[in-house]
Amino acid sequence: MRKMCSCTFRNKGWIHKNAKFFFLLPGVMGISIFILLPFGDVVVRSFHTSLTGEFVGLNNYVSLFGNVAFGLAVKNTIRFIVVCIPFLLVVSLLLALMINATPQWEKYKYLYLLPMAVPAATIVLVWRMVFEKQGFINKFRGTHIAFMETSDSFYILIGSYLWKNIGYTMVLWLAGLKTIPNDILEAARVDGANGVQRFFFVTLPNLKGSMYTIVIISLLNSFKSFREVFLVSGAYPQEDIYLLQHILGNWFTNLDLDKMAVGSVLCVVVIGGLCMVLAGLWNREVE
Amino acid sequence: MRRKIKLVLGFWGLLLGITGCGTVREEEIAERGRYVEEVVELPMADVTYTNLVQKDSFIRLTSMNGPDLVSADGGREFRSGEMPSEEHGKNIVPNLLDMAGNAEGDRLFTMYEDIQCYKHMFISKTGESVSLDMFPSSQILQYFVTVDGSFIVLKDNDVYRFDSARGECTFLFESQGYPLYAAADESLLYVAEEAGVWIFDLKAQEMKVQDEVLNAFLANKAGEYLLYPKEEEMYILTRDGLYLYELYSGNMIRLIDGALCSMGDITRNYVGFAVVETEHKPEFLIYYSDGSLLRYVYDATLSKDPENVLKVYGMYEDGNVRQLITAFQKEHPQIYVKYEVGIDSDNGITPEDAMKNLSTEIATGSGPDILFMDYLPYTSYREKGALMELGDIRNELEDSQYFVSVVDGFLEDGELYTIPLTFTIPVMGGEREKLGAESLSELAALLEEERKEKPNGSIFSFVDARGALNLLAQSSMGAWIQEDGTLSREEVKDFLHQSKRIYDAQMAGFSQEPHFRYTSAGWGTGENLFIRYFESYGACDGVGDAIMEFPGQSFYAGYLSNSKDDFPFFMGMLSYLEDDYAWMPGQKYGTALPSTLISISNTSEKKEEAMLFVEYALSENFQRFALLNGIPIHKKAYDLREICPHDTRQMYSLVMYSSLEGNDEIIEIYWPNHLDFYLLDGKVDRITGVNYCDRRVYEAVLEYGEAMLKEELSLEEAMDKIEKNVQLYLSE
Repeated sequence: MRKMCSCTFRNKGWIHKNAKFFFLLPGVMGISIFILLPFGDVVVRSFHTSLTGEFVGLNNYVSLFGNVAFGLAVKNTIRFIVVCIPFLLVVSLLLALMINATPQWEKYKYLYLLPMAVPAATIVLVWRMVFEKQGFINKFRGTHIAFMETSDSFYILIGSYLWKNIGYTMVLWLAGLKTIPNDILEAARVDGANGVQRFFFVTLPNLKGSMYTIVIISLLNSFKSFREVFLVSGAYPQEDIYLLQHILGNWFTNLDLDKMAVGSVLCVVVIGGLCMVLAGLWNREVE
Repeated sequence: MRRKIKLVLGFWGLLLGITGCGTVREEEIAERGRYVEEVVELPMADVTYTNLVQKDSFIRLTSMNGPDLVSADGGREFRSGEMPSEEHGKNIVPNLLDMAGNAEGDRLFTMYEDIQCYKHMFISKTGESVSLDMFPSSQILQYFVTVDGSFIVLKDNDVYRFDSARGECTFLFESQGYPLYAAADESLLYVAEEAGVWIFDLKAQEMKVQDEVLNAFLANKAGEYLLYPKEEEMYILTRDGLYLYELYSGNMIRLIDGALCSMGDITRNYVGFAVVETEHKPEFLIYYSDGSLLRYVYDATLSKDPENVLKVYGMYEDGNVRQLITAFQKEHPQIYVKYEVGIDSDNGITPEDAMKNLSTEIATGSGPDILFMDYLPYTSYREKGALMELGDIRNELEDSQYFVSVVDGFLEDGELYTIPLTFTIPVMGGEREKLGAESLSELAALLEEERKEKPNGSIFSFVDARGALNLLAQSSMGAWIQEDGTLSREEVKDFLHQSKRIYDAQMAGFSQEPHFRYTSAGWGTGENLFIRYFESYGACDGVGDAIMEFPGQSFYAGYLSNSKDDFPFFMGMLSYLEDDYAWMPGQKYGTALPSTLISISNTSEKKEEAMLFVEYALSENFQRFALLNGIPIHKKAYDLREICPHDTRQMYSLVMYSSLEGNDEIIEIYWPNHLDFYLLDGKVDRITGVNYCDRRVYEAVLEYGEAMLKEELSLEEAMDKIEKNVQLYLSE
């Protein structure tokens, strides 16, 4: 009886010691089953032929770097991200500062999230009404241009991305702004700092934590713009808006599973690397 | 530390267990029992019957003009029933238009009395007749037999019940839409129309609420199903299989999978359906329009799902493939063939989505064993190693037996990955002296000359830009891709340039009015008529129809096969017009349009069965007896079609033809004579290869070519756009 008690006691101790693993278990299992294992399979496939399963080493990687369509898709995606994200961050931050400084506007801040709630199919309908040959713009200008088939389509895509994400990003900035203690700003003001100085030396450094999250979310949201492009122009849009998701989708359709595997691995490496760099920068600043 | 390692190993073991990496023997988990199909031998195999009716285990196959077949043991053995009376045989049978009979032998029928004058009658099994004078003699009625042996009569929207015991007809209700089908047991009557199924309570004499699940299930299936009501339940026979449904329950249970048996065969209709109760599970008897009676028996010893299933995939439903599966199934009953169609009228998905679904199946190892490549990216699949090399099968095909020039059209570096089971040839008809063109430029010159002579009206078989390109591509598209897989700019440019000349020549003769009229008649786009990517080569949608739609036209073009209806009809029209025909001019002059392209998936685990399937598809046995769309690849099967089952002096068909002057003329069509076939043979024997093109390339040329023909783009602009569009695809 005593022995049994001691056992129970010992078990309790073991449980207490390893409780963290039990709490982690559901999450780890979910991530392992739905993300890590499939990704592991993708990595394995990237070194094999798609259907016959022959090991080809780095051949798939080599052939992908020489693939013209992949190069174009990467170029367009990078161009899109490089143009969109800084623009989005700056404009949404300015709007957030304006709203933060004007308390009566703040109560409407949830209205700015509305574009996020508009379904992609509706946006596509609007695009068609505005930018097609028979659309509003052509009607006003008396022209007959299918804008989605010209290089203007890239700017239409950027406009759509900004319209959809600016309100959301602004709300994230606002949340960040609210975390800055008023005392610091007051102290800066008492010390004689003007508005610009307060922004650059007090507000912005305190927003770095939020900025990391916002950049990552904006980066991930930028990949969602593909839906609108696909719904308007299908699998082969005008070449300026031919994105990575297009080529990955087309590879899957045409059974190029090996190329798709390599493309996916590279995407994960690049995006993961970018996230780690950002996280590193942020951590260094915090330290 | 050791404990932690154990923990980690245990965790991964658990994960592997959950994700199914362990092996479980199939026979351990498979449930037992399923229905199997059996052929019921009938004493008179050549006779076809008008319906199959039953009363308990007594089954009757009703004949319109001879003795019925009856079975007293639930359809196990049939014998001839009573002969119709002499008077019946002499006066009624020759004039019969429609008839329905119940299991007792009572009949309700409509017969001709005069032109558009009909007589509706009932004759009991004992020979007593009742004239149904309540129905006007100008109207044709629809008759259906209920499970209890009475009749349902449909007149326009009115629904009647005819009580055969009392010889009385009672009005039941007026349907809101046009009724197409009726079935009933003693208590409930189901009347189907396009919009849904009306349910009428025969005892209470009142309408019941419609069953929304039943309506949704039978929507768009009008004419393709049979119901067998049984109190509150019913059996539903559709192409998808046989279902059991309890009214208003919303619970549709599939008893038999139509894809695994003849139920899914679209080439034959259901005539009648009987359910024979046994000690265990009921047996089903289905009589098909091709005269075959099949029994579906439950075998409890078999596994629930057939073990030896060969999966066949086609992007669209194809009658040729259906026939092949049915015939193969009969020949090899030990192999179950499951036909999977990527896009059908029910699922409404896009070709891209269908291809993604297929890619998923292939990637996960559950892909089809046999692929019909007609609408799939053949070149892409071949390059990826998705298809098995069929060189061994090709080596067995002898020149004397097969149209090898068509098969070899797909040979690349001595390797073959697909074999067309059928093909058609693009032809052009017109005045004999003018038919000498081989290239598109010669055709353009010919039509320009013709336009000078005939300033107004149609001179060729299209009325708009897309139709023109679609038609001309039939003899040219194979030239657009070079051997190295890149786009041939010169060939595409020349094609568009000549197409523009041809288009301009044709359109110069149209005023706005006739152009609109032709377009509204459905001939505008041509998309449904000519090209493989939009529809399989239909026998009657070929060149013959082109003549009919454009009376008085100088030249007409389309595709041609020697199939049952196509060639006789075309030759009949040619003979009437005193015209001749030749190969359609084009960049791939003298080539065939391949169809029903059969391939074996490289990932198939049933390669032996798949090879057997392909060999059977190519066999004389199948090609000879199937009613294939297109010319069979097997020469003997092709030759046998020529053997005239009809007397050349005997009329084959009558065609109503509207001349240019607007007069309706009736043309007598006779079976082609030996010279006609001899000349067709000459053409078919000279085929130099296949005219085949990747779908994306084809679509890009048509899309931008259409804009060029309409002068929205210059030729150079169109070429640049095509190149950009195609290069992106080809470079992926």
